[in-house]
This record gives sequence, C-alpha cells and structure tokens, in this order.
Amino acid sequence: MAVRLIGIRHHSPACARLVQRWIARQRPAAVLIEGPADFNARIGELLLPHRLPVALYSYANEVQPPAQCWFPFLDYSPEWVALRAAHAQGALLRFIDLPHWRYRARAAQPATAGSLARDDAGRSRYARAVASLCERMACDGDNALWDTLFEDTLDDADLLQRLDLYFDELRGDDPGTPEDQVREAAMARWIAWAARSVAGDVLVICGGWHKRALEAAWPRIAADAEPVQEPVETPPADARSAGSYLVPYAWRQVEALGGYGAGMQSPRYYQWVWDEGPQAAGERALAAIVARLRARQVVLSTADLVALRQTQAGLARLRGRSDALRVDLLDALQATVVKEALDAPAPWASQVVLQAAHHPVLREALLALTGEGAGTLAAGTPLPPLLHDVQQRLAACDLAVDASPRAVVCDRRAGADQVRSELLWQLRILGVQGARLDGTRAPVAARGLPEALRYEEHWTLQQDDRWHPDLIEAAAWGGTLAGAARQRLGDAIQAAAADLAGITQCLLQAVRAGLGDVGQGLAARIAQAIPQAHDVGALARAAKVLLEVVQAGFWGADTRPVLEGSLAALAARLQVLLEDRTATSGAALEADVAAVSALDRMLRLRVAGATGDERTALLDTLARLARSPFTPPGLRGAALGAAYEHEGLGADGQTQLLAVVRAVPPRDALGDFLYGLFACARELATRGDAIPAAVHEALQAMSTEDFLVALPQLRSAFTWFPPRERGLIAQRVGRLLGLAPREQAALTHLRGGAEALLDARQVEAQALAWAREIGL
Amino acid sequence: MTAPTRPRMQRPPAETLYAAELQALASSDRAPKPPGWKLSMPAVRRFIAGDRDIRTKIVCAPSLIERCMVTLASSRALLLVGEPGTAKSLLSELLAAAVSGASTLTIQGSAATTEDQIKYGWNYALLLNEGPSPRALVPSPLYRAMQEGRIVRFEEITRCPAEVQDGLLSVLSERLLMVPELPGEGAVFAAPGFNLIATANTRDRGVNEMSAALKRRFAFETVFPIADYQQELALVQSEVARLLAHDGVPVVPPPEVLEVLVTTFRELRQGVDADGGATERLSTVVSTAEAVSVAHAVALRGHYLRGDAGQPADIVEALAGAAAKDNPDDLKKIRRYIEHKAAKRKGEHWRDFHAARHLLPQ
Repeated sequence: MAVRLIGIRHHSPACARLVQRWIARQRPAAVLIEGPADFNARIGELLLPHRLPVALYSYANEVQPPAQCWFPFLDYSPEWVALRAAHAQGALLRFIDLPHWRYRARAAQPATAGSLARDDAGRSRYARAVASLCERMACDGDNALWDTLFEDTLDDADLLQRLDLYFDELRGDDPGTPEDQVREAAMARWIAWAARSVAGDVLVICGGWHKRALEAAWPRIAADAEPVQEPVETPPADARSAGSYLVPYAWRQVEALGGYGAGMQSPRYYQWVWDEGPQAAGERALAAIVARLRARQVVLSTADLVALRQTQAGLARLRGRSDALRVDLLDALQATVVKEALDAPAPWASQVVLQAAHHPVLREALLALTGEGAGTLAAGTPLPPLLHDVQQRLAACDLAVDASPRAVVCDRRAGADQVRSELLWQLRILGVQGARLDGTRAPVAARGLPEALRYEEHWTLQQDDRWHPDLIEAAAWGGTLAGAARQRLGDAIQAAAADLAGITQCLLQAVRAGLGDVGQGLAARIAQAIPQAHDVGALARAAKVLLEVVQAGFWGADTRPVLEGSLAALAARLQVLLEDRTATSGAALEADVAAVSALDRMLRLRVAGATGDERTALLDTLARLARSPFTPPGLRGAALGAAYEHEGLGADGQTQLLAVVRAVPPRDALGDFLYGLFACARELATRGDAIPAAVHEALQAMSTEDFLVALPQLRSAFTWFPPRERGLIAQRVGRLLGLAPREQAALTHLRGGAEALLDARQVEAQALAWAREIGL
Repeated sequence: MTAPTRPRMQRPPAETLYAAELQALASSDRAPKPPGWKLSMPAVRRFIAGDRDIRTKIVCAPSLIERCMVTLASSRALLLVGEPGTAKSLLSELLAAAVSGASTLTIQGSAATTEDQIKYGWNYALLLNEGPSPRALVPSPLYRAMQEGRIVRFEEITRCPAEVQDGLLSVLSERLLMVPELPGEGAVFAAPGFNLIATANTRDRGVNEMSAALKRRFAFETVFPIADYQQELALVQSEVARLLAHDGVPVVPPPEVLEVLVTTFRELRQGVDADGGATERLSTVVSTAEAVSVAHAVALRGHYLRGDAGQPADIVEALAGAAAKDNPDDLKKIRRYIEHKAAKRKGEHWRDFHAARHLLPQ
C-alpha cells in the first residue's frame, strides 16, 4: 500500500496527461480528488456523457451575502481526467475537499486584520518565488513560466519532479490562510482514512498549493491509534440553503483573461493541445487567429505571415523548445503584426483581465483562442435548483405559469405586488423570455412622474418553449433566483462598459428587482467603466435619473445603498470633465449646466461623493470653475450658483458672488452665465436685491444693439422662473427704477389679454416665415 | 562580477565600458551564432538582462530582449518605440554593442537630417580633384555598417521628414545601397550581421508619420516604463544616491518621500492606482528618469534651503514645475490626484503631501 500525491494546476493539459498515464500504469485502488465531498453520493452525475465545459455549481444561502462557487471541468482538467480514468478501472473514487458552500461561506465572513496580513504574506511569498523563477528562466510572468516549465514536451518522471519542486518552493512552510487550513485538515483526514482502509495504492489529486501541507498532515492522523472513520459530508436537508449542481458552462467563463482566477489563459488553445498535441495546436491557433483578424478587416499579408512563422520558430529555438508554444506564437504575432506603439504590455505577459487599453489586434487574437459557445449537460442530469426555486417562488406569489400567456399588473405601491414585481424583474434580468414587460405607467399621477418612478407595471407571463432552456442556462449564474439575478446583473454592468445609458438601466433594474445588496459590488464595476465616458450630457442625464430615484426612494424602498457608490463615481468623473471645459457651444451649455445641477443635487442630498473630504474637493472644484475667467459662461454661472448655495466660496461668499457677476462680459456672456446661475440658484434673484441690481446695472450700461445681441440668451436664462417669481423680480426692478407702485403694476400687467397673445403669435409666425425664406 | 573599466571619457560607449564582460561572454560562448554576430543569442540575453555574474543593465521584460534579437537576426529592422525616458536608446546601444561589438555607428534623426547623413556624402576637395571615387566618398554610419556587417542605430527616426526616412526603403528590403556616382562598382551589398535599430518617441506620434512601406520593414517593439513598483523604487533610490554623491550632498531623500514620489509618478503615468482604480494619465512625461530628477531636486532643496533631506511638500512644487512645462491641463490632473487619491492614503507623509496641495498654482 502506498499513498502518492500529485499536485496539479487546475486546467493544465500537461498535468492531465500525467494523471491519465499514471492511473493507467499504476492502477491505484483508490483515487481521491480535491472536490466537494458532499457530492460523493452523486459523483455518478459527473460520469454521464456531458459535452464540456460544464461546472459544478455550489451555493450556500445561509450566510449574507449568499456564497456561491463554480468548479469548472474541461476535457483536460486533471480532476476530470482522473475521475474518468479511475472510474474506467473500477478504482474507489472520492472527492475529499470540504463542500464548497461550507468554506465559501467562511470566506464570505469579513476578514480580520490578522487574516489579511497572513494573506499578504502568502501572496508575497508566492510573488517572490515566481519572480525569482521568472528571472532564472527569462520569462515575463507566471503564464510564460508555467508553459516553459511544464507544458513543453517532457517525460513523466521529469514532469513530476518539476511539479513537486515548483509547488514545494511556492508553498514553503506557509501555513496558508485559515480557509486553507480547515480544508487541508479535512483532506488529510480523508487520505488517512483511505491509507488505512483501502487495500492497494492510493492516488491523491490535489492543487499543487496543498500538496506539501497534505503530505505532512495525513501520516500524523493515520498514525493515531484510533480508527479513522470515512469523513462523510452530507448536504443540508433543505436544498435551498446549500447544495451543488451541474450546470452548462461557457468557454469564456473559464478564460483567465475574462476574470476566472483559477483558470489558464486561452482555454480553447489548450483543448487543441490536449486533443492533438502542441504542434497541431500551434497550427490551429495560428489559423484561428488569422481567420478572426481577417474577418475584423485587419490587413495580414502573406509576407506578414512568413515573418510571423519565422519569428515564432526563432523564439521557440532561442527558448530551447521542441515545439513552439502559445507564448511564442503570441510574441511573434506582437512582433510582426502590430505596427504601432502599444498602450499597455501584452495581456499574456501577466495575470490581467482583457481591457480597452490592450491593443485591439492582440485582443482579437486572444479571443480567437478563448473559444465560443458553451458545453451541454447529458440528458438525465438532475435539474439545477434554480428551476425549483423559481417554481416555488412563483407559486408562493400566486403567479403560476402555464403555456398560455397571462397578463399580470403589479402596483408597486401595494406591498403584496411589490414582491411579485421584484420576482418578475429578477426573471427579466436573467433573460427569461417567458416573463415579458409590456410597459410601465403612472395613471393617476398629477404630473408626469419620471419614468424611473412609474409604479404600475404591465407584464405577460407564459411558460413558452424557451422557459426551461432559459432557466437552465441561467442556472449557471446561481441557484436561487435572486442570487442568479444579482450575478447576471453584475455581468451586464461589466458588458455595458462605458455605455452610461446601459449602466443606468442596470441600476434601475437592481432597484426594481429589489436587489438592494448589490450596490457596492456594482459601484466598483461602474467606477471602472466611468473613466472611459467622455460625454458630459450623458453623464449628467444618468446622474439625474439616479438622483431622482435616490431623492424620492422607490415606493418605500431605500435606494441609497444601491445607487450611492455609482453616484460617487459619476460625481468624480463629472468634475474631471467639467474642469477640462474650455470652449462652448449650445449643446455643451445644456450639458454643462445639467451636470452642475446634478452635482448641486448631490450636495443637497449629501449622497456619497458629496460628503466629507470629497465634499470639500467638490466644492473647491466648483469654486475654481466659478472664479476662473476661462470657464465657459454657462458652466461658470452654474458652478458659481452651486458653490455659493453650499457655502463653498469661503467666508466672503456674497462679495465674491457679486464680483464674479459684475465681471462677466454683458453682451457675449451674461445670458449664458445667468442661465447657468439660475439653473442652480434661482433664489438669488428673488431673495435679495444684490443680484437683480447687478444684472440691472450691466443691462443699463449696454447699447441697444448689444442688448439685442444678448437678448435671446437672457430670455432663456429667465425661463427657469415660474410666473410668480418673475413677478417678484419685476417688482424689484421696478423699485430699482424708482417707479411708483402704480407704474410697477402697469409694467407687469399683461395688456390686451387673449387678443395680444394672438397678435404676438402672429408676429412670431411671420418672423419665422421670413427666417425660413432667407434660409436661416 | 567584473568591475567595469573606466576610461577617460565622460560617457564611454557600452562596448568599452563592458569590454571585459563581453570578452568573457565571447570566450565561453558555445551556442550557435547568427551570421555576422559576435555573440550567440543566449549570450546577448545574458549580457543585457544579467545573471549572477553579470550586472543587469536594463529593467525590462525578458521577452522584449528575445523578440528584439530574433528580429535583428531576421530580414526586418527593429524599431523601439515608447515614452521618453524608458531607456530605448540604452537598449539599442546594448544590443548593438553585444551583437556587433560596436554601438557607435549612430545616426541622430532630427528635422535637419538629410539623405547625405543617412547614406553617404563627399569630400568635396577630393571630389573636385579626382572626380567621384571611393576615396572621395564619405561613408555614413549606415554605409559602414553595411560594409562591415554590423548594427547601425538610428535615433529618433520619426523626427526626420518622411521623405528622408523613405531613403531607407531599398536598404532595408534589398539590403543594397546604390552609389550611382561611382563608375563600375557603385553598389554596397550588406554583409551578414547588418541590421538597423531605430528608436522613436510615442510623444512624436504624428510629427512625421512613417510611411506604410517603411513600417512594413520594421518590427515595432514598445518599451514600457518599469512594471514593478519595488524595482522602480530601488532604481530611483540608487540613482538619486549616485547623483547626490556626485554633487557632494551628504543626504539622501527619506524613503517615505521617495515612496510618495514613485507612487504618484507611477499612478499618474499608468492611469491606474495600486488598488486598480482608475486615475487620469498625465500627458507630460512622468518617466523614471523624471522621477530621479525630481527626487534629486527635492533633496537639493531640502539640503540647501532648510537643512533637511526633502519633504513631501517639495514634491508638489516639483510636480507643478514639471507639469506646467507642457500642458496646463496636467496641473488640473495633478490637483485632482492629490485631492481625490492622495487624500485617502494613510500615513504622515501622504497627509503632508495632501496638505501641500495649495502650493499648486491656482
């Protein structure tokens, strides 16, 4: 009896091949695999004829936020290969790790300072070890290093020795995180059990990181006099609180460049390596890249291809390989096809996620190696829990679905309807076509409510042909409706990138679907996306919509937690863009003023981004904009108004305010300036005499011609005032002119009534006709 | 490690400075060499990237050196592009010194560069006396490199007018330089080992855009600023110490000041902060070289004006000076960086840095 541990990297074809050959040669009596032990009873599900990639999805809803975890399998995942090979030989097969839901739930607990420090130490040890190896092997980063050390053709003994050395070096004597420790203790118990109760060799397939710790731990347990029981893990009785299921998985979900931390880059490429070997994989990869680039209209001449192959062969030779590997191909591509400076180092040089900064040709080339589409589950695989959850929740809300369409009207003001509506929104977020939103209304609202706040929703619910497929696909996002919707929404935000309208929609969906706890996560993603947005108008519109929802709340729900983080990101971006404004045009005027109004509203509502240090910084920015003579007048006015209202101008705010108003050139800028000023602080004109007096003074100093030039802008500036306030201003102006009350009344009295209005309309129509005639 | 020999020159070329290392590498070099090369590729890599016995001469990705070497051994020329201050010229000098034992065959590109300087000129006295003859011909560095099978360097190629750049077309594709004035033998065929390393500045993008035909004959390699924070910090530290020692200043800037400086420079350069959050990128150069000179200035200011070794507030002023040089927008970006990012950092030195934001011109 012997116990052998093989430390592997998940999704490494070289490790998979090693495991496969080892099992065929050594014929172990038991194969223990690092996988969730609660799935042992159902391990047969993994042996069905699935088309990969599929993932073992685990969830735990007993903690907040709910924990979930995906354990993907590819044809060349060593764990998958071990499963199949061991089963074919009739070996005893066990998963030996803690159930995912158990340790993920632990991981979801807030980290303590001590645990963070340990994490850092572990990470820095890993980084140091990898960096020194990279230096020795002349590799850019861990991807190239892994390929160089392990994926090149090697015989098994060499490979095993290298893997052992490598992982020993990485782990050293590091005790690992608390999570590692509980998992390793559990796995060691399994190994000890197998070592004592199985007659024959035992093979353990575990992540390389755990190997050294497990080797040290299991003999201690096995040496104990007490008999070791099989450490059975039973999943909780209530499938809704925790469990695991198989779900179909997409290639892009196992791509490290797409954000899957435990994955390798370019999964499709490694599939080719697994299927046909490195040389054929290289050919296929080149063909796929060339086809994709040419389809994207990238010019790639025959001469370029010749140069590419030459460089690829040269690099492989220089790096001492028998066959060119992925990194050689990609390096050759970079050297031969890209004909300009790069903004960021090539994505394969480090552990990064593909970003906009990466060169488009390199990005497309990598996407060609990711693979498209998703795996499918074999018929007879038990249905994911999401379907049951949806069924139960629909029934609980009295929303049973059947094949015929059913109209559902939800009124968000009524408590019972709110739950139903949230449920339907969550289905909609998951892309379930059977839950269709026909429209939203606000029938008895006195004034038009903003669309985001309309409370009556009209839905059609139907269990159509797509009902089950849609839900099974959506099951990859989570085991409960809310969990899946949350995950899906996060993904949608990431996909929306810099599309602000899209992001706003996602946020409003989060509010409507009652996913109040997604706020922070979404805000972080949005904060990444917003720096790419350059349209002040679009940012201001997005901020306005969100602020309306924050201010009003959504029919009893507090929307601040969901939206505040995003508003802070919007505020930061708006400040950047506004500070860079120099020239102006009509469209920019509207956008700038709307942007400052949004910032003003944030200051008033004291949302995140407008509190504490950030509030000071925001007010400083506004004050700078207001004081600078180079700021476009509309923006300057708006900034002045907002800064003054929120006491951002310092102690002598009133004096500064008047000084700036007086300093504005009356003919060319005063109208726009006042338009901005009154948009944010129109009380200035009605509350005291100072501003009307200053404006009056400026107007009086103007010649008639200048006044006519300035008039259209001035008129639009005063459109912010409702008639009563215009009356108040007129009274003040009357007093300034020294008019008697009777004369004042005559000035503001509309003479002629309806007739005069009709006359005015006629004159206006005539003027417009003339303008058209001369082509204005 | 062999100590570099120091001849009586302000700045000796790489092949002189590292003569002993090159000699040692050549004598132990057993790997096959590309035609005309003095060293094999692994030896060139060792010379530049260094190892236990050989000093690391440049901090860059190993794959960059490998791609450059493979290109130089191919039929295409090498173009190193990147921000100013990323050590492009140093890399090209080291490559030339290692591959062909000479880094001095250099053409400096500028708006005034003419085709004569690239190809060949004439000694007019001899030309008038003897007529066109090989004796009267004044070879350019390119001419000599072709004859001798060496690497020629072309600095700042995009500073030259496009029509002058295009003079390289036939040299790079046919590997042939015609001298029609010479009777009979009027052509130079490039000897094995000949190739060209050009450098160009990304800030000059669009100054003299390179023609598509010429681009095709180059492999573009981007040289990036140092990727690793610790490496950059260490480099700035050692370089500043060297400069200060040279000036006879007995202090070095405190580590916290350098941390603020290097962090600020990196984040303003990359547009990403240490936590992965987005910041703005400056359009002004914020290279490692610039960081060294700012750190130097900070220490000098501290030493001579106050008698300390420099404070975080000095960085703010130095930054203002560096940024105002090129683009007033950068000043706003620096201010926002200090207001939004530096304000959130922990530590006395970051607080001082944040408090000094008023030193930026309004």
